[in-house]
Amino acid sequence: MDTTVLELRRVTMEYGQGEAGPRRVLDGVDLSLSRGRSLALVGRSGSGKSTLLHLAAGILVPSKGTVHLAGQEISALSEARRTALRSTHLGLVFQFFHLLPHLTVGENVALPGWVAGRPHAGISQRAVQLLDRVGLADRAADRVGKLSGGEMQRVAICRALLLKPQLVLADEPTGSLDDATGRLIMDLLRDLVLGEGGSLLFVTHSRELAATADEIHTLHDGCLAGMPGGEGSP
Amino acid sequence: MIRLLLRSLRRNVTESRTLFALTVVGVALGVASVVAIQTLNQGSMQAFDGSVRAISGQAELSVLGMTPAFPETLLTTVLGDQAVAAAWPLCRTEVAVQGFPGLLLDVVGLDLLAPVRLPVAGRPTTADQTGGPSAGGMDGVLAALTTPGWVAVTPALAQQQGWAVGDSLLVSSGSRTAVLVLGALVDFQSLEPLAPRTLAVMDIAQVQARLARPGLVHQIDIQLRAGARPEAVAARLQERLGPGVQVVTPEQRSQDAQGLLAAFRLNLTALSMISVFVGVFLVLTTVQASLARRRGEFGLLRCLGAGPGQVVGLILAETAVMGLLGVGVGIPLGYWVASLNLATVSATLTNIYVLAGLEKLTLPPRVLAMAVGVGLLGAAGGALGPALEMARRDVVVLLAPVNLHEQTGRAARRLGWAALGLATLACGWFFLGGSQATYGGFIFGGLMMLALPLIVPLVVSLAAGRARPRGLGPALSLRNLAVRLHTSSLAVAALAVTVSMLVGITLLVGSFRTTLISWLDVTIRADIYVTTESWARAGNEAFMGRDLLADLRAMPEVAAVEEQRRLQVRTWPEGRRVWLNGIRAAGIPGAELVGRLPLQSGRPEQAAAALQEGEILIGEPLSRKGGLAVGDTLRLAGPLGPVAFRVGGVVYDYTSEGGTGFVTMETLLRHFPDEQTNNAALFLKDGRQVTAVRDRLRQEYLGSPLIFRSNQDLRREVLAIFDQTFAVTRTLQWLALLIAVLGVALNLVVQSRERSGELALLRSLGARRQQVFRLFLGEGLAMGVLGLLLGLGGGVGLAALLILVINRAYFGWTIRPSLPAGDLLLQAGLVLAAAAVAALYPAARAGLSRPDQLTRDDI
Repeated sequence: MDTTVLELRRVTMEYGQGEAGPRRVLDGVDLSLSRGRSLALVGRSGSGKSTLLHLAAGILVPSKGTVHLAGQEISALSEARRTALRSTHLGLVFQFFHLLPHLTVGENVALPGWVAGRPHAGISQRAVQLLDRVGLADRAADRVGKLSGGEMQRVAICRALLLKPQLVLADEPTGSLDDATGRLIMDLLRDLVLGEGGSLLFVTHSRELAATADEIHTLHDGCLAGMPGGEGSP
Repeated sequence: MIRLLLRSLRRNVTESRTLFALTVVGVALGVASVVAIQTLNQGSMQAFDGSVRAISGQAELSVLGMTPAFPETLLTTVLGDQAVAAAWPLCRTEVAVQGFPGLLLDVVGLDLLAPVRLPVAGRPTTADQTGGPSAGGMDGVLAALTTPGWVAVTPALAQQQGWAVGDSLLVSSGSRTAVLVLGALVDFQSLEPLAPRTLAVMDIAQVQARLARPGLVHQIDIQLRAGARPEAVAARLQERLGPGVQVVTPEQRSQDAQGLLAAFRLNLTALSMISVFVGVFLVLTTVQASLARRRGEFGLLRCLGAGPGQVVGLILAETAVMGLLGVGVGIPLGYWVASLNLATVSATLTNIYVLAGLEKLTLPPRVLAMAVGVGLLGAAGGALGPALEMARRDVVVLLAPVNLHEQTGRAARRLGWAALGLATLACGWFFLGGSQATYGGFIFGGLMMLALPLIVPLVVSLAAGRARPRGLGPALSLRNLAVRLHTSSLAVAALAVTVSMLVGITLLVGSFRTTLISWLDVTIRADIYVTTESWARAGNEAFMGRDLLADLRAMPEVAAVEEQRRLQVRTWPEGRRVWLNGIRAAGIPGAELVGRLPLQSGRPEQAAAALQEGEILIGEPLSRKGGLAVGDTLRLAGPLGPVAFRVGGVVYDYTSEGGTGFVTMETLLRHFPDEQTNNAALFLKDGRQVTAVRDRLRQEYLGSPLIFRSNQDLRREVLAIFDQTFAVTRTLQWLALLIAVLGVALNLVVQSRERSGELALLRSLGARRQQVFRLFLGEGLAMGVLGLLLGLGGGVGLAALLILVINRAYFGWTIRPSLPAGDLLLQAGLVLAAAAVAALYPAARAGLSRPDQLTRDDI
C-alpha cells in the first residue's frame, strides 16, 4: 500500500514576467513524505521554503511539475477543489500564530471545523480534547490576547490538528518564540501530529530543531538536497 | 508640505478609489440635502417677495385690510397726508381659467393712471392701435380702461399656454364667470425675476365689477415724499385709517410671511441637518480607516521633525479636498432634488399656507455659501477627532503595530457612560424648563440624537460578545463586528440615526394620518360638497351666487344645504393670521354642527348653546398659540375695530396651522357684515343616491366653474394633500438612508482591506470564496439589524418628541399615536435589504482574498 502523503515531482516555480524575465524560485524539486513521518525543510531566507509550503498546501500551483497530496494531483485541481482539499487533509501552523483576537481560545481551535461545516458538538468536543492535551483546557473561554506566545502557538497547533489532517505544514513554528519555549513547542507539535497518525512538514532556520525530524532537506537557490534526520529517524 | 499633500492625495485616490468615491458621495448627499431644502425654503420666501415686489416694488408703505377687503374710500384719507406723494389702490383676486385645468391667474386690479411702471411687450390688441397701458401711452390706457375685460399677462405664461394678444379667456371667480381679452403682455419678471408667471393686470374698476366687489379694495400702495420717515407716516396713517386696516412696510409684509412659514421651514431644515450629521459619520469612517493604514507614514513624518500641527493640517487639508469635491457634486444634486420637489412644495404653499406657489428656483449666494460651509465643516468635523488623535500619539506608538480596535473596545464603555450622561443632562434640562425655550424640542431632540451614536460602540461590543458562533454563520458575522469596532460602530451609528429619523417620521406621519382620518369621519358628514375652481387659492374672494344656492336647495333629492363662509382675519392686537368660519348649518338631525366639530374641551350641549348665543368654538392650534381656553375672550380685528368673542369650546381642528374659529353665519354677519358663501354642503334625502346626484350635478353644471365632490371624493382629496405635504420629508428620509447605507458599504470596504490577513487565514484553512462572501454579507446584515434595533428605539423616542412636543409647540395639533405596522415593516425590510445590497460589493471583494496574502503583521 502506498503510504505517501505528499509528493512533489520535478516542481519548478517561477514568479513574474517582467523585463528581466521570470524569477525562478524552485527548480525541479522532487520531494515526498510518507504517513507518520516528519520532514524538516531548512534554508536561507529567500531560498524558496515558504513557496514550497504554499505549493504543498495547494495555495500556489507550480509553473512546472506536479504536486500530489493524499494520492490526488492537487496541481491539476481547480482553486475551489484545492481549497476543499486543504480544509479536510491539511493542517497549517504559522510563525506568527495567526489567531483571531475576537474569538476565544476554543473558538480559534474550532475554526477549521466551522470552515468545513462540521457539526458543532463534535468539533467542540474535539477542541476541548486537544486543548486538554496541550494543557490549555481551562483557557478555552479566554480571549487569545491574554495568552503568552507559547500558549498561542499551542492553540494554533490544536487548530491545525482539529480535523485530524493527514499532513501538517508548519512555517517556522518556533520563529517567534524563545529557544526553550521553541523546543517545547516543537516537541509537542511533532508528538501530537505523529501521535494522531499524521505527517509533519516544517520549515525552520534552526539546525537543532531540524535534527528532530525524520528527514531534513535543505533548499539552496531553489534546489533541494536531502539527508536523513536525527532523533526521529527510523 | 503642499507637495506632500498633493502626493498623499494622489496616492489616496489611486490606492483607495472606492473609499474616496464613497466618502465624496457621502458628503455630496449631505450637502445635497441641505441645498435642496434651503433652495426650497428660500424659494418659498422669494416667491412671496417676488409677487410683492413685482406689484408693489415702488411702494414704501402698503395699507392692508385686517379683513380681506376694505372700502376704497380710505384712499382719500391716505392721499390727504402731506407726506404721501402718491397712492394707488389694488384689488386682487385669483381666477380659474376655464379650459385650462389647474391654471389660476393672480389678477391684480390697478389704477392705470397711477405712477406704476409696467414693462409692457407685445403688439396692440386691436386695429385702433390699443396697446399696454405704459407702452401705448394714453391710447393704451384708454384701451385698457374701455375694452371690456382687458387684461395683460406675462409673456412667459402666454407663450406656455399658446395665447396671443387679442385672445379671449373665460375665467371664473367663485361661481361667477367673466370673459377677459388678452390686451398686452407685461413682463413682470424683467422687474422682478421671481415674480409669478401667472400675474395678470387689469384696470381696478374692471376687476371690481367683473371678478370682485365694487367699492372694495385689498391694498393701497403708497409712495412718500422725499425726506418723509416711513415709520412716522405709517403710525400717523394707522391712526387716521382706524383699526380695520394696517399700514406696513414691504419688510413687515415679508416678515409676516416668514412667520407663517417658520415652522414648516424649521422642520425641513432640521431634517436636512440629519443627513449632514449622518454624512459626518462617513467622513469619520474614511479618515479613521485612512489614518489607521497610514499611521506608519505619519510616525515617520513625526520622526523627521513634523510637528503635531503639521500632521493635523495635512490630514484636514486632505479631507477638505474631499469635502470640496462633495460640495461640487452636492450642489447640482441638491438643486436637482429641489427641482423634483418643486411641484409638491408649491402645492403645500398654496394649499396649506395660501401663499404664492413656487414656479422656479434659484441658487442664492447664501445657499451656496451654506453648502460650502456644510461640506467643508462636515468633512473637517469628521476628520478632526482622528487627526488630533494621530497628532497626540507618541511617535513610537505610531510606528509600532497597533490594535486600534482594542483601544476602541476600551473606549466603548467610556462612550457608553458619556451617552448616558448626555441623555440624563438633556432630559434634566428639558423637563426642568428647557421645554419652554423657543427651540427647546429641537435642542432636546438634537442632544438625544447625539447620545444615540455614543452608545453604539458599547451596544455593538456587547452584542458581538454575546454571539456564540458555531460555524461560519450569522453569529460569527455578528462577532466580527467587534473586530474593527471603530468602523463598524460608526456605520451602525449612522444607520441608527437614520432609522430613528425614518421611524420617528413614519410614526408621526402615520399617527397624524390616522388621526386625520378619524377626524374626517366625524367632520365630513354631508353627502356632496360644492365649491368653485378658484376657491383653493382665492379663498376669501371666491363666492357662490345666491341663485346657485337657491337652485341647489330646490333640488328634489336635497334635504338641506349648509353654507360656509371662510374668512382670513387677524387677532387683535397681535395681528396673527387666523381663519374665521361662519357656518349656516343645515339643521339635519344627527348631523348637528357641534357633533361635527369634535370637542377637545367643553361639553357638547354647552358648546351648541354657546354657538347659538354668538360665542366661538376655536380650533386647537388657535387655543394653543393664543393661550385661549373655554371662557376666555378671543379678540379679532373687524372692519370697524376689534371684535370680542367668548370661547364656548375648543375643538380638534386640522384645517390650518394658524388656527380657525367657528361661529354661526349669523354671528359672523353681525361682526363682519358681508354676506357671502364660499362653499356649500348638500345633505341628500337618500344617502344612497350620492354618486348619482353628484354625477347629475356635474353634467348639469358642465362648463361652469363649480366642483362637486362626494363625501368620499373630499376625503380622498384631503388625504392626497396630506400625503403631498410630506413628500419632501420622504425625499429627505431616503437621502439620509442612502447616506447611511453608503456608510455600511464604506465600513465593509474598509474592513475587507483591514482584515485581509484574517480573510487570508480563513482561505488558508480551506474557506471557500462563497463562505467568505456570505460572512461579509452577514456582517452587512448584522450592522443592518443592530442599526435597525437601535434606530427603532431612537425612532420611538423621536416620534414621541415630534408628536407630543414639537408638533404641539409649532403646529398645535393633537395627534393620537398609532402604529403604522405595515409601513414600519416595509421600511425595516428595506433597511435590511439596503444593508445587504451595500454589503454585496465589499463581500465580493473579500471573497477574492487569497490565502498567500497572509503576512506577519496581518492579525
